[in-house]
Amino acid sequence: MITKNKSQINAVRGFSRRDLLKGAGLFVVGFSVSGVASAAGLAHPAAGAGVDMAFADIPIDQLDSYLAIAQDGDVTIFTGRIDMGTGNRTCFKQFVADELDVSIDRIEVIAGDTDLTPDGGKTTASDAIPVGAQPLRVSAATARAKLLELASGRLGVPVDQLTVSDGVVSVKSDPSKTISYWDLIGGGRFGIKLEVDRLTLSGPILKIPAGVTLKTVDQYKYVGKSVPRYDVPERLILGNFCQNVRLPGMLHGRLLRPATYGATLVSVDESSVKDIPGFVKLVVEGSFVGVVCEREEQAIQAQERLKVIWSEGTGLPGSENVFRFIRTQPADKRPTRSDATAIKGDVATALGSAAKTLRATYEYPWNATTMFAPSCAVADVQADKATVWSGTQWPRYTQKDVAFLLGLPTESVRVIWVEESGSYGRLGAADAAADAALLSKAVGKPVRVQWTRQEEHAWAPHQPPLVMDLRGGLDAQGNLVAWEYESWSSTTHDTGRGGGLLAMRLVGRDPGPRNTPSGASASTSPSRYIIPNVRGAAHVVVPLLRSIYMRSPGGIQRAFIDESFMDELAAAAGVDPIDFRLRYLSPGIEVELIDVVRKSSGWVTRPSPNQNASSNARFVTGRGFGRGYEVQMVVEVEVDRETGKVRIIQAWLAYSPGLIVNPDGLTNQLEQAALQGMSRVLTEEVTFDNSKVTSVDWITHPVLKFSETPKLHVNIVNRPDLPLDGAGENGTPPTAPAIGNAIFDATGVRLRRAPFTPERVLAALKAHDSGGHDH
Amino acid sequence: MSIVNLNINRRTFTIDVDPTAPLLYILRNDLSLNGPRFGCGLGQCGACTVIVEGEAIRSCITPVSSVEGFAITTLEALGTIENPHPLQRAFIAQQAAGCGYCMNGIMMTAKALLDQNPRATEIQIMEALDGNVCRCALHIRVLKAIQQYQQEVRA
Repeated sequence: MITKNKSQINAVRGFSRRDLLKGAGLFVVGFSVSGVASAAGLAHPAAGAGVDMAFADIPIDQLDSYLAIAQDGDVTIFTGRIDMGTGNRTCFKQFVADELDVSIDRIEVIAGDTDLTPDGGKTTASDAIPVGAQPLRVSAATARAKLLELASGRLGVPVDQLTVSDGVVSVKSDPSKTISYWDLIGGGRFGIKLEVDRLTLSGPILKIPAGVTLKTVDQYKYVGKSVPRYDVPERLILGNFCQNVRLPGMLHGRLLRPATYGATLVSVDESSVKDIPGFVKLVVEGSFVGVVCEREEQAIQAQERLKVIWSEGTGLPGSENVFRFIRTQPADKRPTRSDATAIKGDVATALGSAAKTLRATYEYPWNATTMFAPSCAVADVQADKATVWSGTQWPRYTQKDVAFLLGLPTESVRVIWVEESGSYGRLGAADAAADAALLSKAVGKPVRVQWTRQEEHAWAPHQPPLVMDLRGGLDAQGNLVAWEYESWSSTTHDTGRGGGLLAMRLVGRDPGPRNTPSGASASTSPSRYIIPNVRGAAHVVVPLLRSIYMRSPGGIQRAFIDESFMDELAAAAGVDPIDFRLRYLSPGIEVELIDVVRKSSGWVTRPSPNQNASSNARFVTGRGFGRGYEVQMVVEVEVDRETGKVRIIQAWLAYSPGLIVNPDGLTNQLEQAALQGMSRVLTEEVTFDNSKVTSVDWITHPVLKFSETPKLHVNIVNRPDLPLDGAGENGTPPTAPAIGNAIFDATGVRLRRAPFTPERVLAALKAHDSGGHDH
Repeated sequence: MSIVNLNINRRTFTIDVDPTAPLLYILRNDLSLNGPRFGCGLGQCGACTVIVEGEAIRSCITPVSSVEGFAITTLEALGTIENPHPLQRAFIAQQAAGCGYCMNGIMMTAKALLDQNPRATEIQIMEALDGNVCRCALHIRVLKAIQQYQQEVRA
């Protein structure tokens, strides 16, 4: 069984949290500061068109939705955000401990439970700190102000004569006069309404009430310190993962996926599995086929043995043809941000009169999150309600999706987030939750669904590819005067915005994305460089496979293309690659960070490629710079000219998230994002033949090995004067161009197609040696 | 179904199961030993690693009957939240976890290696871990943690 923590039990014991928050006869603290709670109804004046905010069970505008103080002094914070292994919950504790003036050890976090936590939108986009923490900070600061007001009344001195230490309020002039938060409100409600400033897909931003101030940087005790992640010992020793949820009478389910892409069910032979001991039921709805058995190994046996006949399928173009194919795909009319154009100056004239023009096509393939633990969920569906345990990144959408499939009202479905595998975007579409719900409904008992490795690699939604044609022009002095591009890409929100789950597609009931306000990855270029003449067109086409966002969606792809082509232009101009870029960037944090990484890496100012690039030595080394929009990176590589194997020797990066909340946590996130990016650039691609995905396990889709671990030098810059930025994704984008540029520096060969596998590098080296075109 | 006797973490368990069932599912579902985890079922990722007679093995592809009579060690034998094993303490100190799902396999593989060869070099450690996948890419922290543990064991 999963172990519930103390406050989780307290929170559900005796009363429902929804009842509590609706004020069902429970003790309410008298209240006088700004914004007395209005009647229960929730208006969402800030809800923009297309933003689905019908989640009012736990009001997002009530302090009590976010924070509770128990009689024993426990402080519980409630967040709709989930923690996929980034440590965001530890950062939430740091903020709340500081704003409330309590020891961090008093605080527990309840995350992602639709019966207990307010809507926190999605846990994506690295915005847990800038957005997810915000309502918690405001709630804690407001609670502190209210508690001081109450203490002032009880102690008979003005608020400014009071001081707080770990939840105990005392009179400055007479420290023997004290009263604690839990004496003031323990077990009760604040009853304070908070105003929603604006709603985002990542949850609400609250207004700071009049009379309440957030702490300043110099007042922080925990924020800014490397507080260890409290969930790390649990993850390392107990491993309380979704996979461990075991309910009384729970059965085990497995799915059978179409033999080829787009195939539909023709027939299924139940007699092929009926004799398996413990076999319970074959579940078929449309092309959704599942087996349910008493024991897990029995379900696996049934999955392997069930005889299914599928139709031929719709076919795939083969992954080597994907970049030709994408140019022929029809436009995708669903996303509101679809095709985009950019026009500045007069590109035609500038290119026509340029001293030198460069032309290139860059290609970035389909990428797979390949979540380490294949999808898993447990569902307990009863006649009028359902409970689902899932690692979903978007509990409120999983709730709606499951309710839709089961034909239940949304509020009759409870989704409980449980720690899961790192998902990097993939669990924005919690497919297994829907699978488990359908199987549980069919057998009337709780069912645990576990996807296979091959299912996860092949049938998870994937990050779509990007292809871009570019032309650049240099004048006689080597100045960049024109940049022209045309790109083809697909939305990353085919799934992951509600709808689009595999089960929905297979049963033939897909409501489609619940909203796609900015769902496209229309790829414009080049980001933030100031170039006199720019012209471009970005086409958004129907995705070939089911698509989703993956860690810095569009980021690694665009950085690869922008920054590799800039490198080509710098080399053509005979200018140092960093110096060349600085000509076209405005002063600011980006330029400051480029300077940091330049110094940190001991960058020698000179043009690329280096002098050894034309040597015949087997091993050659080179260095490359990559601008990743937020993170700046220098990479040193070694290329084996005989095998084409690229080894990353070391890398330097520089980043500022504005205020650094947890230096070690930030460093750790940057390390992980960078290494995962390097893995993607060197080896990763979703491959498929003419009928099915062929990258289906760790052999056919390898990732970075321990023996390939580079040295990494992380520079983080604390700039509390700048807006808060996230940590999870930003380390990924610069890896692609930095590595490609380093390979160019080492060999003189430009790679324009990712990933840089040994075969591809070797082919490019050979083509270069024989005087052919680069790849 | 047949009776199988297993010696796990120095205790004996008698269970009535399909003798060909992979050890992993018996450990997890019958004995609630959640340390070993399902990652691939193919012996490719290491998530399910347990130590049998000193060797790190993949319980997802090991028939339960084949380990009858052998000493099986799972993650649960290492340490507790209150009293972590020194190897786990080193991983905690280095914050060597993203999601942590793969770390059973990484810690058990490292433990089997270091029990046999406490002075394993960094290259030997990396090669031993090449059969493990860490998708969150904690490579740097993992290697630091193992080195920290080696130093503590020596001291």
